[in-house]
Amino acid sequence: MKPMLQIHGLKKQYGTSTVALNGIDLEVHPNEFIAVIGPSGAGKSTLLRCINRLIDPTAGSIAFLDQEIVGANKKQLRQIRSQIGMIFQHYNLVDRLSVLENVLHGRLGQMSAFNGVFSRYSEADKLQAIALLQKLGLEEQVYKRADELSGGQKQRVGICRALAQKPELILADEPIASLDPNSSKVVMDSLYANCKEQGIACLVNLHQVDVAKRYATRIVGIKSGRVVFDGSPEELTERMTQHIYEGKEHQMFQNGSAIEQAV
Amino acid sequence: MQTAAAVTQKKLKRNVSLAFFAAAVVFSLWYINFSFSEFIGGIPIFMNFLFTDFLPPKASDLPTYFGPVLDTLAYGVVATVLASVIGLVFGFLMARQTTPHPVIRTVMRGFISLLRNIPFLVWASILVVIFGVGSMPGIFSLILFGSGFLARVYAEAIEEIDSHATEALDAMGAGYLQKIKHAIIPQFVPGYISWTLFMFELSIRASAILGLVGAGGIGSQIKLTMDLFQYNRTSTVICILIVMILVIEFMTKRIRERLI
Ligand SMILES: Nc1ncnc2c1ncn2[C@@H]1O[C@H](COP(=O)(O)OP(=O)(O)OP(=O)(O)O)[C@@H](O)[C@H]1O
Ligand SMILES: [Mg+2]
Repeated sequence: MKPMLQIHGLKKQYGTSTVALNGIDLEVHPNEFIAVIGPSGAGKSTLLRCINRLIDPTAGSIAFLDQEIVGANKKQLRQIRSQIGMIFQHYNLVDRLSVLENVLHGRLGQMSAFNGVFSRYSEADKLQAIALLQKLGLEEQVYKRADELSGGQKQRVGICRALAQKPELILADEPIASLDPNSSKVVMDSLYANCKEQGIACLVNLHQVDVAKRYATRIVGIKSGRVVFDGSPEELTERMTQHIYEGKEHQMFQNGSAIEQAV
Repeated sequence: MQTAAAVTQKKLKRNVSLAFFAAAVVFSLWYINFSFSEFIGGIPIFMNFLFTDFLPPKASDLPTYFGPVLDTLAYGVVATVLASVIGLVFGFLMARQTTPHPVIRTVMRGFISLLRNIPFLVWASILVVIFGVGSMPGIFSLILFGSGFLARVYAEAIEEIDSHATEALDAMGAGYLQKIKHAIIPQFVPGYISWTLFMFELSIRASAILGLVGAGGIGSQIKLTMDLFQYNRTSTVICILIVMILVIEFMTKRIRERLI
């Protein structure tokens, strides 16, 4: 199958000295659920943010569905971004708006400026948003203000917002790093199930190796801005994990084993 | 860790600063011929004036001030609304996340800072010369000063908004106006209401001072009654002003608590 996302020689340097990404090559195929693991500061967030250009890469190329992202102009970039959902560690909802409005925000990228500014969402969009919220168990929360929700609920709203885009790809930057084990499990289950069902490819940054192994169809290990492992969860041996986290072993299991108990 | 030398140096610096401050005070007192005896001696005269000429307030002609009070409130509303509209436009041009271009931001900040740093009494004095004595120079100077003030505090309130939500909208391909509408404005509303109410309070307080340069409103009554040596009427006006300010402060506080 043809890859949907092709990253080639991706480099990112902050200032004059910090090299966050040092030549990343990565291909993502449709339907893949890829966990990106690696110690703190390895460059996981930078990699995800380069893909939708929240961060501008220093060098390299990124092709998404045959469109070049790195050289895209403003309009092209908006169009590309509208096909890529993003989920954040801190949920990044608009606190003072309702849950429904937050989910509808997912439609903005595909609407005209005028319709977007005046919230002229189509009836179909509204129905879809409510259906998504129901599916993720948030039917009681539809009209609540986003800041009234618990962390796990907020993250599920974040997932709904990403799904509302009807994206080809979802980028999730540590979606469960701020959640307790029970909520983490609900969030990961929802993300995984919906991506599988709708054929959405997903890149998830994770701190917890065991969570990565549980869900991922493929694991990418990053260390000091380079890909040091790329294979199936079975291929990720204990030794390999040690190598990826060398010197930072304590970061491998941060509340990850707790998810095991919550199952 | 601080070394002994650093501590000594700090002490020395502090003593030198204190000495400079003391010298400045002494010099200033001498320079303006400040007289303590006159100051102390003035207190009984002031008390006498306060209790014989000023008090009690003349309550009988309260109804005659109804008009000026209404004027002042209306000026306050008009000045606040217009200053808020102008302030919004400039505020959005000046705030980091919402400015169309960094150069516009810098230019606007400079312009607004100029506008804001001219005290509104100076505006009023200038405008009285241009428009003549009356209510217009009062309203205009409030609008000028208020626009500058609000532009600045609005811009600061926008810049303090958490960038998380804007980042999410960016990531999904929302445009400039969409981001302003859906991420910036909802989070800016509490700050906007709070500062606009404060501006209304300011404009009511300012009416006392504006009256002194003949710029209309209840403040004019202070000057008028004093020019006629009707001091117990002056005290009535002052009482009315204090009550107005207290009531408005109370109301704006309640509105703020409700909305945020
Ligand atoms: N805005 C920035 N300015 C300067 N340096 C940065 C910036 N963002 C990240 N870095 C640096 O780039 C490197 C990679 O950071 P990144 O956030 O991508 O790591 P990460 O793998 O996501 O880490 P974590 O697991 O802690 O989130 C780090 O050394 C970090 O200090
Ligand atoms: Mg990170």
